[in-house]
Amino acid sequence: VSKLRVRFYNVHFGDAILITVPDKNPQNGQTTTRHILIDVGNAPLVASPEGGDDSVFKPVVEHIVETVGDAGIDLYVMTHEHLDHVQGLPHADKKTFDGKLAEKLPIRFAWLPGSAAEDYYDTHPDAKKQKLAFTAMYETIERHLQLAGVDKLAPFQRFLAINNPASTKQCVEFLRDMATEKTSFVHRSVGEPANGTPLFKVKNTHPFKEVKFEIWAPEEDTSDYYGSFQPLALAEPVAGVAAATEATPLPPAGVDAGAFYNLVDSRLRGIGDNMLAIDKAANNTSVVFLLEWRGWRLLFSGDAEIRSWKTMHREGVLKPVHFLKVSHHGSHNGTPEDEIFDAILPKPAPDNRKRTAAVSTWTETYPGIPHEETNDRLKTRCKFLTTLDDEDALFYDVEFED
Amino acid sequence: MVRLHESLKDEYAAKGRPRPSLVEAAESEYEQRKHDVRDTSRETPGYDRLDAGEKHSARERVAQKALFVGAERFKRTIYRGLDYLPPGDVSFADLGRAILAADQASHPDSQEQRRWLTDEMVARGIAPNAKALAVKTNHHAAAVDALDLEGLIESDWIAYQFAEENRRLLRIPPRVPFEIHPRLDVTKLYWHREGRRDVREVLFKVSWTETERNDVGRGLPRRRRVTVGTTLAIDAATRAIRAVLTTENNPALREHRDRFLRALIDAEILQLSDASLGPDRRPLQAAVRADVFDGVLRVRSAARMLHILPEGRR
Repeated sequence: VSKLRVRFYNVHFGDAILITVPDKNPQNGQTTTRHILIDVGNAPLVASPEGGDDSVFKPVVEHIVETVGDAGIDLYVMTHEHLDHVQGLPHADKKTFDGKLAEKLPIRFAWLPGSAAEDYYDTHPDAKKQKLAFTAMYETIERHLQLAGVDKLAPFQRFLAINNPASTKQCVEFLRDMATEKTSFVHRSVGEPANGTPLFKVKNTHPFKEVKFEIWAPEEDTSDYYGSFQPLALAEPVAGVAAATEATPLPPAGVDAGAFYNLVDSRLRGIGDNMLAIDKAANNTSVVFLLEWRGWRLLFSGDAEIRSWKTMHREGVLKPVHFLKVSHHGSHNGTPEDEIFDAILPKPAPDNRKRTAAVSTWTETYPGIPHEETNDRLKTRCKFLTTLDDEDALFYDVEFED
Repeated sequence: MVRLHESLKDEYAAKGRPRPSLVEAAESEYEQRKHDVRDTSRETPGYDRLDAGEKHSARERVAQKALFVGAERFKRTIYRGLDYLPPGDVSFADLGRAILAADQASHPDSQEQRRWLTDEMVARGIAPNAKALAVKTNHHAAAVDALDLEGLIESDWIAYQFAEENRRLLRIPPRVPFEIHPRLDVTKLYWHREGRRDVREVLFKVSWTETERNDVGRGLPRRRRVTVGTTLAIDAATRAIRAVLTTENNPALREHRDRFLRALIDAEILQLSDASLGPDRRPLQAAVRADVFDGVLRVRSAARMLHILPEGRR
C-alpha cells in the first residue's frame, strides 16, 4: 500500500518536518519515493543564547540523513526567518558533520520565502522601510535590556535570540546555497484563475511529477505583515553610566517622583508590545503551502499568525484540508477563528477521509504556548497530535494511505 | 470654546453699553477712565465719544472678558458634565446627555449653547435626534425631599438603604445586586446675571452589571457582562433633583459593542487573559484585556471606549 508519511521530529520548541511521498510519473508510470524537509530548528536555550543543543539536534539530523539516504532531499522548505526554524541545518553542518552536511544530506530544490532573497529589500522599498524600522527597534530594545540588567533581560532573552537579525542572517545565507539544482524565493503567485480557481505558479521550482503544490502565503510585498510600535521612552546608553542608573532615571527637579516613575514605567511597558510586534512580523512572512497527493490535502503553515491567515482568506486561497500542521507551535494566534477556521476545517467534513492536526511544541518556552483552548478547538474538528504526547520519542508520524 | 468666545466678542464688543454681567470689569475701568479724562464734566459719555485709542483699548478689554466668560462656560459645560456622567460602559451619547443636563440644571434659561451642542451631537450621529439627548432637570421626588442628606453622604448603610428603597427612581432593575460609589459632596460656583452663587450638590452614583448577548464570534463566549449605572444629582439646599442620568443600553448599542470588540480582536488589541501580557508577564501597553468567567466575557479597561458611530456617519 502506498503511503504518504509526515514525521514530526521532537526538537523541543521549533520545527523539523520530513515528508516522504511516493511520486508517480504519469508519463512512464514509475514511482519515486521523494522527500520534503521543512525547516529544522529550535528555540535557543536561555542558558545558551547562541542557539543549538547537540543533544536535541544531533539525533534528529542523523535520523533524517539515514532515512533519506543517498537520494537526499528533493525539496527543502524554509518557512521564515526565525532561529527556531532555520538554525538546525547550519548548526548540524558545523557541529555534527564538520562542514560536510551537503554531502550527507544533498538537497536538490529549495523554497525560501521571497523576503529571504538577497536583493529582496532592494526591489521592495515599502518592505525595506518596515524591515529597517523593525531592526532599529530590535537593536534599541536589546541595548536597553542589556543595560537594564539580568532580571529585566531574562524574560525577553528567548525572544531576542529567536529574532536576532545577525544570527538569522547567517543561517539564511547558509540555506540559500544548500540546493544543488535550484533555490526559489517563493510567495503567493497566481496566474489567471481558471473557472474561479487560482492557478498557482510553482512550475520548475520542484521535481515532483504527481504531487501538486499551492503556495498560499506570504504575499510578495511583506510590508503589510508589519504591525505598529508603541512609543518607547528608553534612555540611550551613556558610556560610563551604570546600568542601574540608566534603568531608573531620576525625575527632573521639582517633579513628583511617583508620577514621573509611573510615566516611565508605562512607557517601558511598550517593550513587550514591540518585541511581540517584531516576532509577529517574521512569523507572518511564513511560507504556507498546500500539498495534494491522491486526494489528500495537507496544509503546512509555518508560523503564520492571524494577519497572514486574514490575508489568505481575503485572497480566496483557503480550502478544506485533511491535514493541518498547526501554526506557531499551537499559540492562540496561530490558528484562526470563525470563518477562516471553517474554511480549512469545515464542520461537517466535506468527505470521509480522516482529518488530523499536528503540532510541534514544547512547554515553558514561550508564554501561552501550548494553548489548551486552541488544542480543544482543533480536537472538535480532527484528530490532534502533539510532540508532547511522548516527549522522549524522536518523532511521531502521520500516515496517509492511497 | 472658540465659537463661544467669538460669539460673545462680536456681540458685545461692538455695543456702546455692553451687558454688565459680561463686561463688568471693562465697564468699571471705562468709568474710571471717563472720570480721569472728563473729570470736570461729570456727564455720562457715550462709547462713541471716546477717541480711537480708547475705543481700541475698551474693545480689547471686552474681548478678554468675553474670553474669560467663554472659558468659564466651557468649564461649566464640560467638567460638570463629567461629574454627572453615570458609572459604567458609557457612550458619547451618555456623555452628551450629562453635559447638557448639568448645564440645563444650572442655567435653565441659557439655552443657546445647549442648542449648538445638541445640533452638533445629532449631526455627528452621537444621538439620533435632540429628544434622545433631553434630560428632565430640577424636579422633586418625595424620597429625595425626605432624605437625610448628611446621612446619605456619610453612611454607606443609609446609601445602600436609599438605593434599595428607590430602585425605580435610580432605574436599578429588581433583584439585581448593585454597587454604591463614594458620594460626591461638591460646591460649585455659578455666575448668573444677578452675580455669583454657590450651589452645593450631592452626586450619588450607583452601578450594576447586565449580561447581554455577545455576537462577536472569534472564539469568544456567547454572553458578556456590561457595567451600567445611574448618577443622581441633588441640590443640597432645595432637595431638588438636578438630574437623574442612567447609562443607555439598547440593542443598537449592543451591536455597536459587537462591532467594536470584533474590530479590537481583528486588530489584535483585545486579548484574552494571559495573552494580554508581554514576555515579562506584565500587561501589554496596547492591549485591552478580556477575561472569561463562567462562560461570560468581561472586558476590562475599555469601559469608556465602547462607542462607535454607524457606518457612513461622520
